[in-house]
Amino acid sequence: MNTGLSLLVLVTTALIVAVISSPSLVTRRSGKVLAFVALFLLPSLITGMGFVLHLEHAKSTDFCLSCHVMEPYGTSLHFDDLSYLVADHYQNNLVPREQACYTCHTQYTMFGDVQAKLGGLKHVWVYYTGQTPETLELYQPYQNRECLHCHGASRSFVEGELHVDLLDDMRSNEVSCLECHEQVHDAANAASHAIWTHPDQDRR
Amino acid sequence: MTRDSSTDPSSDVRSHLSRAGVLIVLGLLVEASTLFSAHPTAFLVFAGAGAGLVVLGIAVYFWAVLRAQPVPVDR
Ligand code: HEC
Ligand code: HEC
Ligand code: HEC
Ligand code: HEC
Repeated sequence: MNTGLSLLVLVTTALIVAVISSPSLVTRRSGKVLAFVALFLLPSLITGMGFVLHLEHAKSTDFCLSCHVMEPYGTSLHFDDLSYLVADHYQNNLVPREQACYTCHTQYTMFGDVQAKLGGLKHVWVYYTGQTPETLELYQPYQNRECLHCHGASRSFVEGELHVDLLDDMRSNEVSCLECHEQVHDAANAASHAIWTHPDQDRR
Repeated sequence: MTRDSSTDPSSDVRSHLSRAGVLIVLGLLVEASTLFSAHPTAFLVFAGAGAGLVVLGIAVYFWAVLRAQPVPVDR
């Protein structure tokens, strides 16, 4: 799709050059229509598709980890200890690897509501001005819905011994999953964990 | 805005359209150059510089067209 869009940019560029160097531009109807296509329709289309493409990129694990403050979180995907939620979900393919972070943080910045989007701008600001705090904290407490969109309907979850009596409280977020499933990232100590690597190098 | 009747209106419009074209082409090239990277800087350049130039160019284009014909353009 990147290549297709780049080709469209070339075509549009050629069209614009043709249009602005043609004398019929402001006189003939066909010239006006062509100008409208070249100077408005195609550029808008390309810009819109570019936004979509960048948003799609932003869901990728690579994108999240391209800011170094996120690196310990990337390391936590590879802990050689499946009692950590993130390591377990990643290494056992319970979340898609290419979009691991996004899958559990669907409300993050540009994917969330207006407030989250503003929060995202703050991240970018904090990042580029180098004011990153020692330890990162969630702006808002973690929402169970991030887990429930996968687990909510599953039998193993609803029949879980300790879950049965708490289902309503968990749905309304009064009881957090993390009260019991508390080992998540341990980012602060990421460097001290042993690392598991997939035997097939390409999969990491 | 009153139009200066001593200059040829169509050449005035044409020079605005050329300006719009240059802005849009620059913007599109900047946009295209960011499409192959998934780094946040690429997105910032796309949105800030690329899309900004395109939107500016389109505004200049509409401005030129509206000035040329007070009656909306035929599509
Ligand atoms: C299995 C789901 C899951 C995956 C996958 C996941 N996270 Fe998290 N993440 C969580 C949960 C749950 C919390 C809340 C932890 C807490 O409050 O103790 C969290 C918290 C965070 C925090 C806040 C700071 C902190 O330590 O509490 C950051 C930053 C973060 N995650 C980044 C990432 C990044 C980057 C990735 C991808 C490399 C990722 N997460 C993948 C579930 C996940
Ligand atoms: C531009 C660099 C950058 C990128 C890319 C980035 N982050 Fe962050 N992130 C930061 C910074 C800086 C902070 C700390 C902000 C603060 O503490 O004010 C942060 C904080 C967080 C937090 C905790 C604060 C909150 O929003 O609740 C989470 C969760 C998080 N990032 C997840 C992610 C995920 C998921 C991705 C990929 C979709 C990602 N980050 C991509 C720079 C980035
Ligand atoms: C993309 C879907 C998805 C998301 C999001 C997700 N999980 Fe899972 N999780 C799974 C699947 C699939 C399994 C394996 C089947 C099962 O045990 O239900 C699993 C397994 C588990 C297990 C059992 C682990 C084991 O090895 O037995 C726990 C505990 C768990 N998830 C908790 C969570 C929590 C807490 C969250 C939110 C932070 C979460 N999950 C988010 C898909 C997901
Ligand atoms: C009151 C404590 C408690 C809370 C709250 C809780 N769990 Fe659990 N959960 C457990 C225990 C204990 C187990 C069984 C031991 C294990 O596998 O970790 C378990 C097991 C699971 C399993 C594995 C089920 C299986 O048999 O494969 C999943 C999935 C799971 N929990 C998801 C969640 C999600 C999602 C939430 C939040 C919506 C949540 N849990 C909240 C205590 C809790």
